[in-house]
Amino acid sequence: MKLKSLFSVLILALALFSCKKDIDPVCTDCDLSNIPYNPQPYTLVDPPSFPKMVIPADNPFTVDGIKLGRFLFYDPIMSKDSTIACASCHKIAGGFTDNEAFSKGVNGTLGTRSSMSLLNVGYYQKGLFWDGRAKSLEDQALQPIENPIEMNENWANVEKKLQASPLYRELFRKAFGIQEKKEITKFLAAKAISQFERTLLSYNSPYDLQILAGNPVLDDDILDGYTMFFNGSPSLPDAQCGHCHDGVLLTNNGYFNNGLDSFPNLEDFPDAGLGGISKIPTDNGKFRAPTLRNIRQTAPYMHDGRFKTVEEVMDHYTDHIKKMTNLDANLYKVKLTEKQKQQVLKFITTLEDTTYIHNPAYQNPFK
Amino acid sequence: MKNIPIIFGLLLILATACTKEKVMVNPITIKSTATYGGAPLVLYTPVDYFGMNIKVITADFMISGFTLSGSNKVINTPDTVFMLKFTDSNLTNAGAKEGIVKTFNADEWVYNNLFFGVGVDSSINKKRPEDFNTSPLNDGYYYWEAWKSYIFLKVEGTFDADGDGNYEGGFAYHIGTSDLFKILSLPVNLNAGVNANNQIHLNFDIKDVLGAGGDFIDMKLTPSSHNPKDVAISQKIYNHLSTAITIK
Repeated sequence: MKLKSLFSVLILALALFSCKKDIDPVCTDCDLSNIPYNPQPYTLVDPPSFPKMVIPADNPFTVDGIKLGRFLFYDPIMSKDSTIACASCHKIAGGFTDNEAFSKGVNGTLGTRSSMSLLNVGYYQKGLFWDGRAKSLEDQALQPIENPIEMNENWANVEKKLQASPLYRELFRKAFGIQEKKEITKFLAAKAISQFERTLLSYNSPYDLQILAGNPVLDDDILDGYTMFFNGSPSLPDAQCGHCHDGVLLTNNGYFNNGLDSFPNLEDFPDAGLGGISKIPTDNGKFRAPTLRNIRQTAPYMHDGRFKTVEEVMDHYTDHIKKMTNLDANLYKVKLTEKQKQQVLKFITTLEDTTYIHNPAYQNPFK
Repeated sequence: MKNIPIIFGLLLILATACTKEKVMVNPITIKSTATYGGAPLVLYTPVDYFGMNIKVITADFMISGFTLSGSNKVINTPDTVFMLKFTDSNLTNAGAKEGIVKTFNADEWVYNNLFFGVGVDSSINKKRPEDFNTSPLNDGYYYWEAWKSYIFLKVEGTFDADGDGNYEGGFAYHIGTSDLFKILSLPVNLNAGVNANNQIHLNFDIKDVLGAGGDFIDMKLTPSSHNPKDVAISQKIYNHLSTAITIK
């Protein structure tokens, strides 16, 4: 008899403390469980010659995750006055930059640096932003929302706005299988944006289709420019480009002082770049080497957009390097004739790929 | 019934006899330091290079695993290929003395030799970053596209050519390519035991890397070696490694 009673108590306890959460009976739109959740994995195929993209284990690709990310990327709901979206500073036609020296935030507030291209950003593993302060795309996506010179919002408000939206309640449910709207959080939003950003690829330039594919380069100027760019032969001068802009990504993701400014002391840099994050004085004035892919689409150049053309950049390296203690050692002597400069510039034109601009998967879903 | 304890005892003896307990020692530590002319190398500080002041600002070495051997036993460290980045560790005197530490487990044994390579052998070097999943081999920062090779070592810095206190020149020696690669062997006397201090101190003297035995490079004439066809400089520096890298 005693055993039977104990058994009954156990069954009752199980029934009372069952797995189903109590959903607020007053909230008519809190429960999302009636929306189907059928996650479909998405497989990204790394382009030829590209390294394997590292996908975080806690944020695998899904079709609906990417879709949600694209909506969030283009939605100014993320900003305080609903005027600025991620896409405001990262426009497709600009190689996912905004072609400004300083990006504009809410109320036209000027930022302090030029926006960086997001093409192939999923392959960058050594920090994001010019100073490397974000260790991952998920980390990066959290920051502009609360930056007063960017979206000037706070995440608590953004979460409320997203939770109040029938569109986003559905999208978040389908992407992450959440049961209630209160599970829409900044972390899930950042994950979705990151998934979308990882799909932004550019790999159809003449450099990819010809040179990386192993086909002979038929234009002598391009061949010489390529050789000097990567220091491929002692019979031509080393243009030193490949020390920072190497490999298939045209960046080695390192941080360098590339001779933009000179000050009496390392502590005098108004924008310390990497040094502002690492707090190591010899890192002051070092910035991440951006990709040179689609470089003519992503003007202006440098962290502060001071150079309007690639030609100005070239002239900087050959004639206007400013020396500091931590100037990159490869930049003390970049000597090219005018013809050699033109050849390097002609090679750089082979890095242009415009096929991604019309990719429907990258377009604004609200239009 | 009487025989059960005896049988049990026999089984117990058999069981303990068959599983010889492996004696795991305290972890073996290999501490790598960088010096210049025997003194701790602190980057960005002036040092004498055969009559000219220079400042070293980069000193990185790609190492193909550490292997310890002694009388028919060989053990490899878990990392097959890793970087010794003195560029990061040697920014201060304290950091230079502390060095870079690698630790791994090993059996109790007497080890006589430490083997390793600076760079990677041709079976790895013929591949590309996209063929690997882990750093440094999957990292384009350590790969030079034009050479189709990993960069085995980088030593960079600045020099004061005319002694006026201005470091107006830069030097950059990047060495790689499979034909240079060789395994270095250094004698050690490591009696690795449970209570022993199982440490090996490996030292890289950068002055010797750049000019062992007085075989220096004229930096004003040849401030960089960045091409596999710069054989003279590449070979000179690589050959210096057998003098420059020592057990302390």
